Amino acid sequence: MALAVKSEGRDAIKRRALLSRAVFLVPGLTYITAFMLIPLGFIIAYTFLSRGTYGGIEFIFTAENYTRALDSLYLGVLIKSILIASTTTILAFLIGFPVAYAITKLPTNRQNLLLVLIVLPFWTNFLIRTYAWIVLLNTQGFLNKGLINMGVISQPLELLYKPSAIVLGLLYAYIPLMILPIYSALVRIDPAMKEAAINLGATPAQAFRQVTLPLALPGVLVGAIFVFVPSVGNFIVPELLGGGKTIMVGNLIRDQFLKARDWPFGSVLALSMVIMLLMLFFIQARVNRRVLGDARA
Amino acid sequence: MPVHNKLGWLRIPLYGVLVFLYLPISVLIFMSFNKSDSPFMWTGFSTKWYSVLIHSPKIMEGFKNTLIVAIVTTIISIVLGTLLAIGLARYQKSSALEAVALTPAIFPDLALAIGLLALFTSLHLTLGLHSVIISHALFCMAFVTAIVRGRLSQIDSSLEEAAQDLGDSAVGTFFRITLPSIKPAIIAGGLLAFTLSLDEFVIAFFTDGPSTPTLPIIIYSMVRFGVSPEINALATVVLLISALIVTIAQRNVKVQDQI
Amino acid sequence: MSSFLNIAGVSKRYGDVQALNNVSIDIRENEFFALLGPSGCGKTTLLRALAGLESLDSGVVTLANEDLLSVPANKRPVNLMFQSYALFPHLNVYDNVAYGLRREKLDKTEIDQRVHDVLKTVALIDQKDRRPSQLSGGQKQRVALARAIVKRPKILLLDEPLSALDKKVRSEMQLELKRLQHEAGITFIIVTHDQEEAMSIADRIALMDKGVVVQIATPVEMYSAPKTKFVADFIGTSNLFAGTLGSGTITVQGKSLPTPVTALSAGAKAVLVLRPEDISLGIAGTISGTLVSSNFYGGSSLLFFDCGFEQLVKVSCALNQVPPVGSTCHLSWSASDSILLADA
Repeated sequence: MALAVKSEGRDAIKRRALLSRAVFLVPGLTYITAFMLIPLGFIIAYTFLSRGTYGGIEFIFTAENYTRALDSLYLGVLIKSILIASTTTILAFLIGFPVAYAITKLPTNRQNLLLVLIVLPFWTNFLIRTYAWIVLLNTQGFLNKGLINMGVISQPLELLYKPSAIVLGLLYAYIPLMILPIYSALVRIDPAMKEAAINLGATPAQAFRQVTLPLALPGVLVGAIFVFVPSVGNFIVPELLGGGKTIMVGNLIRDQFLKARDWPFGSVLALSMVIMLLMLFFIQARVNRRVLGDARA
Repeated sequence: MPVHNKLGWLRIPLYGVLVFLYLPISVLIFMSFNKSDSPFMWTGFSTKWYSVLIHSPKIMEGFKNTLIVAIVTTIISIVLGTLLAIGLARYQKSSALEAVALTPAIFPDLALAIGLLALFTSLHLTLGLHSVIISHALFCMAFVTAIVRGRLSQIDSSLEEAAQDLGDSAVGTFFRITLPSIKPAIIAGGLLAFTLSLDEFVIAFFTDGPSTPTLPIIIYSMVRFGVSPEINALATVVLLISALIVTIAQRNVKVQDQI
Repeated sequence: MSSFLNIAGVSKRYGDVQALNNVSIDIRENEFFALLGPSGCGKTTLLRALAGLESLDSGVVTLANEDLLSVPANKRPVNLMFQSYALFPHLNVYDNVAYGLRREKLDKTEIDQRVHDVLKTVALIDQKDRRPSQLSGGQKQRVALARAIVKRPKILLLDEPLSALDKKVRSEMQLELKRLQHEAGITFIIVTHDQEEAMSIADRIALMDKGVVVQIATPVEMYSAPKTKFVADFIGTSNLFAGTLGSGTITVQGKSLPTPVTALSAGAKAVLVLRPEDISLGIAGTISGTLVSSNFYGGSSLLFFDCGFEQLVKVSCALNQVPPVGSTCHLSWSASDSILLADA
């Protein structure tokens, strides 16, 4: 039986489907391959190569860059960076969780307003937001002047240029990234879950601890990654608020590329950050599967 | 109809965090109207630092460079990001590809920056605004992809199937059905790409040439090496521009849902 | 039997909506009771109030002569099976079922014994280590049921328990619920919008509409002696003829139909209710009409006749007696089989 419309043949239809798939996917994926995956390959390759005399690299294989990274001097910097980033992440969770939980208790239109207010600073200039703390905490700054005028202190306090100032700056920069994923995990929990726990005899506190908290855990982990990863590799906050005394791994990487011109060693340090990111995502995916269940498991 | 529980003590962290987020910014904006030559000590009201800004050729040049980068970056990000989002939503549902497409947005910026620097150096490419644009488009595109992809998953794909069933061609369906329905997401994604590029420092710092500094690079040198008094005014302008753009973007798409 | 759960004059208001308006129901011990009604009638609000998940504006609820409303939700001897099941996704079947017993701080061996027993009863002992996401819809439903009954509540509340299941599983589960209720000796209160489900499963039904209890009766009573037009329309299939009463007749859209004996006086507005199975087809009849369509339902067919009324007249008919579509038939019934109700 012939159709009234001219048949194009199955091959033509298949070809067209393939063509449209290519039109949509190829440009973006090519761009990502050329400017992210290949550069990542460069970093990995550099870690095994030798440093050039005037910066750059020489194609001589070596594993020395890795052994150098294990030097107590650099290992110390790495550990200090991880400690500062972990402290920031834990504080962000301790403050961010109650905030996210409070937002879920508001009426929907107020929820949206508060989320906008919390996320808005995040989208503004990072340098300026960090600099704003210098204006506020400087020895001649607002806070010190205010405290002196109120007679609380007689001498200005040195609030900047120490590790706690770095933690403060990182917390300020990234706490919205902790609040948002926790919020979205919390609002996705069926309210019947908590009611079921109470109906089965749990006190509200038990229901929170045994049901709400575990179900929000995947969101907490996403938030932790979003705070930890940019914190551990940050070099602006340590430089502006840490006063250069507390060097973090981000500063070290920057210096290897722009000052010391030891690209291979800088690459090893950068790769360690990428590996940390991948490990965290792996953990997050596992917890996600454990908590929310997986039909295939 | 759920009755919303009283906030109780949760009020303290909620409003505390808002004070924490807005206090430093507010002080900064206040201090931009300071008469004094020190950016930290208040002596009296003045708008003189704003006119210093306008009359500074260095800052105006940086502003122009930043605008060029942000505009071109936004165009590239919109085109590539939208295509990729549609491709991922309608033609190739793959969580691995999706992860690759979104990675530039969460990848450590320092690692991206040095990787790109290594690439450009080995290609013997002179660094300048073009290399910043290439680099910015990489992670800005990921944000456009994420927002448009999110919007597409809310739209029933049967809309497009219905259009084709009613006799529209694939190209016609794209322009008459798909594109109009994701327009708010494209606008929001574009606006965010614009602000991200406008404010981006780390990647620009590594991939820009010395003769064409962008505004964040200028700001960095201002806050790092001896604080110049017009910095507060400049910071206020830059903050308000970003805040305005993001607020407009929010009207199109709930940005917080995308993270 | 004396009253076990006594709900007296209960009201609840949400803004402009009166969700429950002076509701009073007596439920007996070991009864299988259904709260039936269209969505928004207040049945779920009442159920949630019994569980303590919703507060009431006024009214009294006593369980075995003790005030229920002053007991906190987590201490009530009342368990609820949620419509969405609300199984904890991060716990396996065993831990879901054991959750409530652990809150009672029972002895470990007792918990283990009771969980195993109930899982055997619902035939899920082999799935005890699975996560809810690995279960079928019917299995999830049984876990939710097991989790509630393992607490040995005085009353088990079930919120649309079968609505998420497909039709075949649903009828099996109806039998299963009846069996469990019988074995466990627990009072069941089920909320449903499905009148067929309520009719087949419950000992008694309270039909609700707009926050008010319209009628409380056994399924048979409710079908054969509906109190209002709403009940007659909601329960089963029926033909409703609204008109004005004469003496022994009712005038419906210009036609006169015979009425059963009634206390209503002539001239009153009334509705004549006629069940499709009470009408027979024949050579002579009260009214005649053209067969417009016939719908096949297993053993019998439902025929639709155009008899000159605004609505088509529904008649049920044995399969082998369905006349051809388009033919004219005479419809007859005995006036005593019809029901006459006052029309508001």
